[in-house]
Amino acid sequence: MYDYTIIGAGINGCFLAHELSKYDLDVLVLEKGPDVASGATMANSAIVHAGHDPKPGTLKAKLNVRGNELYPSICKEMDAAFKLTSAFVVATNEAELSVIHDLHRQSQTRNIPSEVLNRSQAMQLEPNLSDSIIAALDLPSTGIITPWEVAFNLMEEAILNDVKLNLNTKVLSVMARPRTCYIDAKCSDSKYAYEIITNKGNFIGSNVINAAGVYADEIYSMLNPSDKFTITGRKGEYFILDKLSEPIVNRVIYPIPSEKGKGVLVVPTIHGNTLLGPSSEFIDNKNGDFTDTETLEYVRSQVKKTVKNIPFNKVIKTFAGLRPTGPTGDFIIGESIDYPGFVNIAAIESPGLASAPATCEYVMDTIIEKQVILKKKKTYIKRAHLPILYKMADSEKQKLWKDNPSYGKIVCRCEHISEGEIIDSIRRPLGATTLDGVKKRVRPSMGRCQGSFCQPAIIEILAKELNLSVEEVKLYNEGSNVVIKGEFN
Amino acid sequence: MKIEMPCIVCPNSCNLEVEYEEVNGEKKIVEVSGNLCDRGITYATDEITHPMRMITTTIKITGSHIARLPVILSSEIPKEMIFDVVAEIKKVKVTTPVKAGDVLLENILGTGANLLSSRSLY
Amino acid sequence: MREHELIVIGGGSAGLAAAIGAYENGLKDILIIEREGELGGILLQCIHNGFGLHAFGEELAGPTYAERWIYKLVGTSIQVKLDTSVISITKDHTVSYSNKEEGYVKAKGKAIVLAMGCRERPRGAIAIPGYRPAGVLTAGTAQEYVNIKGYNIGKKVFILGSGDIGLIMARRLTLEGAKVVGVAEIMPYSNGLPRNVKQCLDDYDIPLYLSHTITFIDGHDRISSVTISKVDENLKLIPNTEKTFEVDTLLLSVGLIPENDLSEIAGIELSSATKGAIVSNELETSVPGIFSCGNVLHVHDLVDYVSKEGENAGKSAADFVLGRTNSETELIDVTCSNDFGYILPSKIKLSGDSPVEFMYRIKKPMRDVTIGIYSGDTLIRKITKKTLIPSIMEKVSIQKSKLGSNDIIIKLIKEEII
Repeated sequence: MYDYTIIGAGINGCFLAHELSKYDLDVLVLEKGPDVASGATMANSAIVHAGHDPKPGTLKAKLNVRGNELYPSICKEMDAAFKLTSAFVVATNEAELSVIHDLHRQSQTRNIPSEVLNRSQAMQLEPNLSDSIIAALDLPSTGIITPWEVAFNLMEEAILNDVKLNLNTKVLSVMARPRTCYIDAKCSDSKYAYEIITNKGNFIGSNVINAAGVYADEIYSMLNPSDKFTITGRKGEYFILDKLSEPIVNRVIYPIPSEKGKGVLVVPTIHGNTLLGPSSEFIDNKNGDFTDTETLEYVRSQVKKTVKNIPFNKVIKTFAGLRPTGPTGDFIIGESIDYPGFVNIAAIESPGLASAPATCEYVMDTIIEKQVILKKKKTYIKRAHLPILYKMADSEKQKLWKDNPSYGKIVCRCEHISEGEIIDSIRRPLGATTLDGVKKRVRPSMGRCQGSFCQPAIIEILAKELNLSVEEVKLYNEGSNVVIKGEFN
Repeated sequence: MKIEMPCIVCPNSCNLEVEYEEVNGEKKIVEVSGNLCDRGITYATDEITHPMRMITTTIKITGSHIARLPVILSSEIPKEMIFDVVAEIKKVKVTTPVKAGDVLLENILGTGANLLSSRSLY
Repeated sequence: MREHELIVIGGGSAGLAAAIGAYENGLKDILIIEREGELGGILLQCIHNGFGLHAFGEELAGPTYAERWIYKLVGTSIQVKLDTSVISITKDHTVSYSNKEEGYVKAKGKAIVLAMGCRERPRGAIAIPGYRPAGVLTAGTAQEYVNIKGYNIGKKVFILGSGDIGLIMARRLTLEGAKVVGVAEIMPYSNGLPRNVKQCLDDYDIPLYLSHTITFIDGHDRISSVTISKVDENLKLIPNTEKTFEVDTLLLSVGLIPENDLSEIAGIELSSATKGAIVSNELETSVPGIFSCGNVLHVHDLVDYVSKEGENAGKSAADFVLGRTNSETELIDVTCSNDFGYILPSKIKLSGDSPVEFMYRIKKPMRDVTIGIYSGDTLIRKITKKTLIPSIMEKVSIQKSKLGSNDIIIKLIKEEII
């Protein structure tokens, strides 16, 4: 019997697991993917928006503004990268200029720093703005993060503090049971406990947090078909550019927002790459994270409207992600009325990432505090810092190498990642079990060769560390083995 | 008959023009042009009358830091025997040490071609 | 910090030849830094034959060719560091490297030869639409898996791109028992050598779809199919020409790019045409004392030419270290008209009397071509060719005395586009 069962280890599931791990509670996280952050958290624009554009009165507005305040300190505390970059919303005509002024006023009412710049002021800061730009709204509190890094680090610390994480565990059914069936239920006055049936056994939770991303609607309708909402995947396709000797932009560049969202952006990333995208199309396949020719062409044509001189010959990757879009235009966050103890955190599309720490705070303050008595654990274990060699001076690297020579062996030549770091990424508490898992944790294969050179070596390290055959090593999902069983001939 | 064919003898990839005639079902070369060396004439003649091919592949090796030993034939074999010869080669297993040029199998399937190691492994 | 007369970055065909070339021209304190566990570079996985016709007068398998060069080191004072990665090079010739034995250290070379080779363009670089499943890999990675490690990479294979490695892997996988269902090439001609189309595809009835490209990769976990479409002369997709092939593996052979990350760190000027360094006829880059050769300079189709270029770079480095070069700053420029992919060298020092060897590549296949090499407006060499194709690099050697003192340009005089 768990006090809390969190369904979904995306950014919101991770924040809540981490927060709950500070208290005397039994917490279980169920994730259908092979790793933490396998859905929208893996494939998004990686921006901590200022909070300038959500409609007034929405949870999106409230939580985005608060999330933006919380991120810098949380990233610092969690040993995750955060970079304050600022952002421009750019206008190409008079109508758009008036939108900029509206956004400026809205930002002022939300205490978000902002300033309207004319073309020449804007060009001074961003010389690659397209020729048609006439003005820009500067939003200096905008930042960027590596979303999965935040998620990994939160969940890793949660695990160290006794949160149980079950990966590759798909929820098949959720049922409310009378609380009295479970005499050890120590949580408050709900009349129900929840039985969760998965492909890997059944679990009982006094309280459930549904943070299942695009599948949150399906999870909730398993329990309560009469009160269901619908989540639709809205696909965003992106390009990633190689590191450039001169960055194309220093800050996030937004076009004027539209019905479809924030539009197609040009975004610097934490590691010096540039992200172009996303598109925005509804799709009825929740597994449909594929790219297509027309949409990529659309992204290409859209980014040229705001930024010029984009070196498309430096593209190293394209990808797609699905945003969980709900029916109301706002996040759906709250406890089920019919089923107390069951909390939905659903429809977390943009600015869901930027809001995540505030979403956690909001859920704690308005829901969880009323459900259970929160008593801090006597001892709390901080996650250990792991060395990231490419950021270090030679003398520091040399010290590490003295203790462990495998830090001296470079495996990923593009990003300069050592064998020692790859082994660390597998051995750490929330260790990598797949090629993508290693890549997302310590970055080998993220560079310009995209793994052509280092993948063979990483497969062997994974096999050795996890005591598998190379044929058993997966790219990511079940069935994504790179080397096939059985010999040629 | 006059046909064009790329010479496959070496990476020069000469574009050969080959004129031949067919008498009683037998093909005879009249003229070969476009070749940079005499091997082009031999190739064109063989290719029209009885095509020959070189084979390179790998075989299992134990005792080395790599799992496969690259191997090559000492001479070309008839094209239609490629798969049979490869199957024969794949039966060979070696253990270190082996030197480049070592004969690992002689006169494969009566072709006269020997199997040679393409590298040394200790 | 240890100082060497010469540090060669890379122990493949170019680096080996550069070290030998420098040694034979008088340098003794030479260090080769190689990131893999043995010398030989990519040749070790190129188990097919066709190497060595120029260098040794015989046709060798790749590993045999490499071994011949490696044996040349025996008895010399050339030192080798294996399993060692260079992390940066500075303009003043400081090389930072790391390995398990020494950790993170620096060394200095009076001269440096860059011989890092090239890398393959990955899927992302050409933005192939679709899912991102396992079973999509570059032809070179597949080559390593199959030829060195003996892994099974798939049973039913499609290949995108008709570069030589792709063609050779088509035959290789066929001989290993896989079924190669087709090769698609976006251009109307093959990017590989004609002999490889013949002996790797035609021999095994593997269809080559020219003017086709992949428009979709299906399969959420492992690739399940690819869809190809025909393209028009502007490389735009033609609707309703899709064909789908059920496969479990897709190999990409869509181009090689000189691997100049270190050159960029060193502040060396690069050419947008070759993606390699801009070099003089002595193979010296824009940074004095740093030389470049082999596939890191421009992608070659013959390893014999790589070795030759390596030897030349080694000789130039020796001349530099031993003070045999004059510090001439007046160089003439070499350019090409738009019909050419590139011409090398980019700059020529006029002093000395050694002939200059020009290397160039045409952009599109052409027949009955006449090419002119001009010094300013004066034609100094006329070359006629029956055919010219992009996959074959052409060479021509001209005496310095014939070059004059004006900039050199190579142009087409007459051509028929195939």
